[in-house]
Amino acid sequence: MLIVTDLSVRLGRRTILSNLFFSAQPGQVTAVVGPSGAGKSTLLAALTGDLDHDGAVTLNGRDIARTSAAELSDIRAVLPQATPMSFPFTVLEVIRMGRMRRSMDDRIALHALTRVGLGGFEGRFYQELSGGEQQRVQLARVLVQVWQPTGPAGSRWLFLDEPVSSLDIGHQLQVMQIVRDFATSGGGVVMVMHDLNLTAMCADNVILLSDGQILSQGMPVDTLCDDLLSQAYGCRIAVNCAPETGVYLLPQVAGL
Amino acid sequence: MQLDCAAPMADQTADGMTIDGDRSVTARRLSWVLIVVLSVVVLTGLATGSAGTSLWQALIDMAQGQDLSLRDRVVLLDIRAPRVIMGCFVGAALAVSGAVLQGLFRNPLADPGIVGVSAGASLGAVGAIVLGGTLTVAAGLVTWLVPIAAFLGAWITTMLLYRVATRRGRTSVATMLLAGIALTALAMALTGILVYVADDAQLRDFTFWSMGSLAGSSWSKIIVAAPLILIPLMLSPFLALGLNGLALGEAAAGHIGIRVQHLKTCAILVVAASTGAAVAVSGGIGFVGIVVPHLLRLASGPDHKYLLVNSALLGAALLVLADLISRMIIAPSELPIGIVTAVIGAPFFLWILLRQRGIVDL
Repeated sequence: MLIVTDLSVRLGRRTILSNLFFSAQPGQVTAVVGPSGAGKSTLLAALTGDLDHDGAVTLNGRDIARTSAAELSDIRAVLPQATPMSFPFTVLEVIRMGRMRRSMDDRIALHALTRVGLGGFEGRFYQELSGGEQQRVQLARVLVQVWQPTGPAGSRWLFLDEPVSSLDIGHQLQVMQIVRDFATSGGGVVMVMHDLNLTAMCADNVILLSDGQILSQGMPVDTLCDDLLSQAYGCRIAVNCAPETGVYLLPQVAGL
Repeated sequence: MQLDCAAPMADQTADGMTIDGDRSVTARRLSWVLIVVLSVVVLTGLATGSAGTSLWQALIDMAQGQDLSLRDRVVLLDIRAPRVIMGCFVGAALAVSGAVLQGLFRNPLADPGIVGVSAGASLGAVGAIVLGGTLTVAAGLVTWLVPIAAFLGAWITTMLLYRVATRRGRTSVATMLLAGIALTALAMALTGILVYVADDAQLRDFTFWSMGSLAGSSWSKIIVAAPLILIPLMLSPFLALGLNGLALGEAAAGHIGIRVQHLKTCAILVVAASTGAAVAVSGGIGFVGIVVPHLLRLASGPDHKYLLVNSALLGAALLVLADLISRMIIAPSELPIGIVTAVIGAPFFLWILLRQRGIVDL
């Protein structure tokens, strides 16, 4: 279980996050949504131990500020928004990095690559792939790191920063399926999302951030409602309303 | 999601079969090739020289139980052997320093010359040449003075760099590069002042030293340089996994379990010690640190597990070869080795830059 108690983050003199309290359960997908600049990525960085913060973050009962990088790497993996790399690594070499502290059977790497829809890409150069393909290679690396959703130290966790932001709708659905499956198998997922439709479809628990504070948290049906969303995003939002004319499409009725 | 580790995919990874994208076999083969190349170059270095002493003849004589003539003994054991060994040390130290720094900065163009480590080492060495002359030091200590001053210069520069660029236990690569530029300028200015106050003899010493040369190699210099070069070289393989992870970025390296700050501290010490010693004994030998790792990345990929070892081997072979060229091309006179590496290295470096900008694609 992830428990966040009175979390505040300051960068210089600016307060980015102030006094957040929430928890996330293993077996569930927790999505963090909110307008740009609300502090979503900062929150994820604090949860993964990248930023100094006030307050406490505990993962599976351990205070992350006092847990070594090695121990944390056994229980959680983190997917950044984008990962530019400066040396010509092959896709296989990048995925192996997910398991560099333990020996790994390359079959897991190939399996993970197939999972993200890039079977046969293991010999390609990472730098030559498109942004969306790079993002999926990194997802495969992250999956390999926490391959078993549960382990001796309890549930394992995925922390994902906008995992579908550079993907087309087909691959967005594929990634959401991977995320759901990970949670169903007992792992925990915390992800920052921009796409509210996909969030509504995939998340069990939604945290709506606005100006560094939690505006609302709970099930999608409770948090993704007209007033809260309109207030957070500063525009008029109406959920479950179909336009009278024009074309629209929803991921909810798309299938893999 | 099928999360079973033993998923049946054995057909793709049957024993002995290489998976596409796995270059470890190529890199290991390359290590063996480089060992052979280095051996050949070292033997050629021992066998060749302007004195005309033949290594083979000497070996045959020794095999037949004859003693070497004094002249042959001096040429082979006191002139060529220390010079070839020093060439191996310096080449390996410069190439590995380059590879480690490039891994640390995640930039294939990083080099001890860029972040100010070489400039700091030079300042130390020049300080020892110029100020050392005014001190009354025992003759035996003079050999030690320049390398130790250069190591101290490199170390102090690196420490300053680290202090400036590190905030609350985190090092910013951008700040470190900027600070490196400032420190290089400062060290060069101070070196300039020292050169200005130097007398003619010191100026001559400095000029030859700064062009880079292995001509003054001796067993006593090797004894001074050996620990400063060999200890970091032997420690560098322990940095390999960490440097690989660092290619993902500092945060991501931490997420896969690497102690990033610890890694950076060790990498900086390795670079300071080996660069300081190499600069002290050989002066300004440029481009080995950039060219060698780059060539190896093209040949067998950027995996530091192999890159560091192969850099040491290729760096050693290249420098012994460059030294051979420098002492044979205008024999019995000598060209400074720094000129040879610069003449080969500088055009290569420009080619790398052009290729990266996509102007030429060779």
